[in-house]
Amino acid sequence: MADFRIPRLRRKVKRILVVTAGVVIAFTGFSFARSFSSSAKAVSEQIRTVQPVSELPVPAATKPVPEKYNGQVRKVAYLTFDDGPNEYTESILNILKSNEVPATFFMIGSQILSHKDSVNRLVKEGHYPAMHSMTHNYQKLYKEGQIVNEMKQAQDILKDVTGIHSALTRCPYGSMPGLTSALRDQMAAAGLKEWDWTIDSLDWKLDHNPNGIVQNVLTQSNKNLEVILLHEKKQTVQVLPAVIAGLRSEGYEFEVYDPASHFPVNFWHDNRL
Amino acid sequence: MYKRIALSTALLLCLLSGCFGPKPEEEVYAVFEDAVKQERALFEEAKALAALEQENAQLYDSILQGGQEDSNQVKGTVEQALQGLKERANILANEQKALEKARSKMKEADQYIRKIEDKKLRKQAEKVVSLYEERFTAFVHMHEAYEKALASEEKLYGMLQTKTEKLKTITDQVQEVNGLYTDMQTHNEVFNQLTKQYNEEKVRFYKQADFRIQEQVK
Repeated sequence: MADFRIPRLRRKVKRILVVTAGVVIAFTGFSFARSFSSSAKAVSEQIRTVQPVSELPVPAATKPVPEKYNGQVRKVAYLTFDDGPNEYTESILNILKSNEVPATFFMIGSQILSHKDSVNRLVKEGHYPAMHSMTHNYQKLYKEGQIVNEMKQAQDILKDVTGIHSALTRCPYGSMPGLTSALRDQMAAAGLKEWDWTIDSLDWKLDHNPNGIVQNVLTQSNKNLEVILLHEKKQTVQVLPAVIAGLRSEGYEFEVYDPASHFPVNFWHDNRL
Repeated sequence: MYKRIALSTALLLCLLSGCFGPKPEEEVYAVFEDAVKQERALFEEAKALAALEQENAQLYDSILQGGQEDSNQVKGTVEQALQGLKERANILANEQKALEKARSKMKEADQYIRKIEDKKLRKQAEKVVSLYEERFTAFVHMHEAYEKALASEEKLYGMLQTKTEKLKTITDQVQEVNGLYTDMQTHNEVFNQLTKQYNEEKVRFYKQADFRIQEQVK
């Protein structure tokens, strides 16, 4: 009996030893590994470099349009609208938008206040806002010498409404003869610019003959640079598409006043303005 | 008996491998940083592109100047400008290739992100990956817009070589080119914005994972 018991006991002991050893090794290994790699503390000890991915430079330059090429010269027309903003401004803006034509607006200060939305739309759509006095009154502006004051008032209103500090003005009735040398000195000292025109469409008096407006513009347009005087009037709205189409067919392109590249257009040929 | 030994060995190996192997967030780190290496070429390519853009602006100016009376005077300069356009197209293609490589590397991160146990950390890793994807898409859009602009510019140089071309047609083409580049710039800015966001969110992920990091500046 005893002969059989001894090996069985040995086997049992062996088995217990193996299992115990296994458990011990596993446990040791586990704690060893834990202390090595998985505690947050251990991870934080290793310094890891972080590389950002790169941005790409944004090319800035836009290409200038050639003024002259292969002996051909560019023809540019500036459409300018006086006496607004008023009930016709929105219609004018709609026509300009559908024809993709930018324009320059000479506006009366008090009317800017009562048509803020139109003025802001005009700016948003790429047109340039400029001043046309507060009263449009010849006596006050020229005889009483209020032109600079009135332009500055309108300038402040425009700034309040649009945030744009515009220096461009158009003298009511044109700068000749009203804007005398003394007044021009004041204008220059105030940093104001004065734009008259090269073509008078006479739209203000052609309310019964709107086609006459188109004829006036197209028969006079013969220079490479034309500044065209229009008004915010019913008859002007009526013929504006025809004026634009006519000038285009004569090869004109439309530009808007750009303060960065100002050039003088005044009847006095005063280069300060 | 052997069964038990095998069992305890298996248990042991499993435990050991589970504990010794890197944590999933560490694997994610490796993938993210590897992806950056894949697109390292982008930085150099971008510099070369900017130089060519600048050269193009100068060539264009001298074409306008020299061609005022007769475009035959500037034939060589126009050819040079056209050559520059081709080089720019090649650079853009290389940039896209580099980004495609990096992007396929980034895909490897998904398998590890799934294993991140901390839900917040996993979410952050997912955010980083989706920003990277958005950035890639932004690049593709920018590339498309850029190619359109280049094609339009090629047409413009063709016109500047043609003696009979109307100035009005040339002007319209210049305006189209400018418009297309403006469009491209918008995409470029989106790409840069997403790049910035991606870089920031990646660093945030590392910090959340308790990594000690050192940021390299380009």
